[in-house]
Amino acid sequence: MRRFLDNAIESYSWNRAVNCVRLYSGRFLDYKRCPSVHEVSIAASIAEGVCEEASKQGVDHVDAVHVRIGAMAGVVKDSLSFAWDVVVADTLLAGSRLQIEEIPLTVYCPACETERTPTSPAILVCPVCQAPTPRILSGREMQVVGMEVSVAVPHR
Amino acid sequence: MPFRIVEIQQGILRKNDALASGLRERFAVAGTYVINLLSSPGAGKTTLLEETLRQARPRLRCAALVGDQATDNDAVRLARSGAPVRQITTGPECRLDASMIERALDGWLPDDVDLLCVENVGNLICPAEYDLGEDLRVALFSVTEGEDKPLKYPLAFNTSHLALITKTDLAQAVAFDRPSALQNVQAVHPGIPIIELSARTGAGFDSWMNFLESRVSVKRAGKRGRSIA
Repeated sequence: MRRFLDNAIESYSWNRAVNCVRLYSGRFLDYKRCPSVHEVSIAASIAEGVCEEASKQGVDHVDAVHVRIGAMAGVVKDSLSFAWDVVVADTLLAGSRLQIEEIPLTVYCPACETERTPTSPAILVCPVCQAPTPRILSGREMQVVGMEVSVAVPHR
Repeated sequence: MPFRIVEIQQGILRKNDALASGLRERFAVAGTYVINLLSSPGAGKTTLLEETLRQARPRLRCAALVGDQATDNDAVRLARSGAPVRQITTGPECRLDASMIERALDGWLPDDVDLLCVENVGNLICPAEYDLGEDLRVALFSVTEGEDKPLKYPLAFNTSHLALITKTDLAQAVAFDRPSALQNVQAVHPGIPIIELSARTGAGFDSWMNFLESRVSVKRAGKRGRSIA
């Protein structure tokens, strides 16, 4: 069991992820779904952390991984989902679902003295009084929340 | 099938963040002030650094790290200043991260450097997420790129400490709308200082050098005692 997990983690690496994308990207018919390198990097960072945690906990199969991504994090949800499948192939996360919770952007308006939601991540002004709102309360999140694992079944 | 949820709660980029904290500590001990330059390709990062190194060199010990997906052209340009320069070729990666900086520094960066300039890969998306242990993150865009650049890449400008508008000598030729550019920078990062300059004519360059040198001297003054080897 231990060896299986160690191998699974070792089999995962940056180069592997990048090579996968190189290989696949030539084959995408629907090129718009081809993940950008940026989302591949992010997906790989998520996978790395979850693989380690799974190994620590003695988990050998993960059904789903839950993450929180802020609206201002600069990550495209669809690209990340697609990159996920490519990146986790041949790891213990293979076939797992990436559950993305999108966190809206909220800011503190110093004039209204309350929390507001700007109309765009690019315009940090209060939508009510138009005051600049430099303080971001939420929307920058890039967090792994947890993983769903099947309850252990007897191993062959 | 029955399943259970295992809570993890960790930042996706926590490894990078941890490495960046280590770098920041190392730079604090050495008294090295580090800047991280972010822009799209062609905004003038290398030209800015060439001129910065040329002007700073007599007074400050400088070094530069340059990230590019391929070629060492920028490193060759910067090395003409006489400062130690190292190219980081990132290959498929679209940004520098803290581990690349750490690897590049090993056995290369002299202990007594006052100013380390890091020129990131020309890209306003990915580099914004990666802390490199820098003191100052600078987002730059040139007058030829359009006034709405900050609005298109809000995270890069929001996470930066200073915005530079470069190639101001070309402003008239491209009918640069200065008030709207300044307004757009302030929209994505209310309160951020902005310096407008031209490395070619030297206009505004003093403001940049003064900004930089005052911060370098503060860092140098606060240099922590060298830890026991």
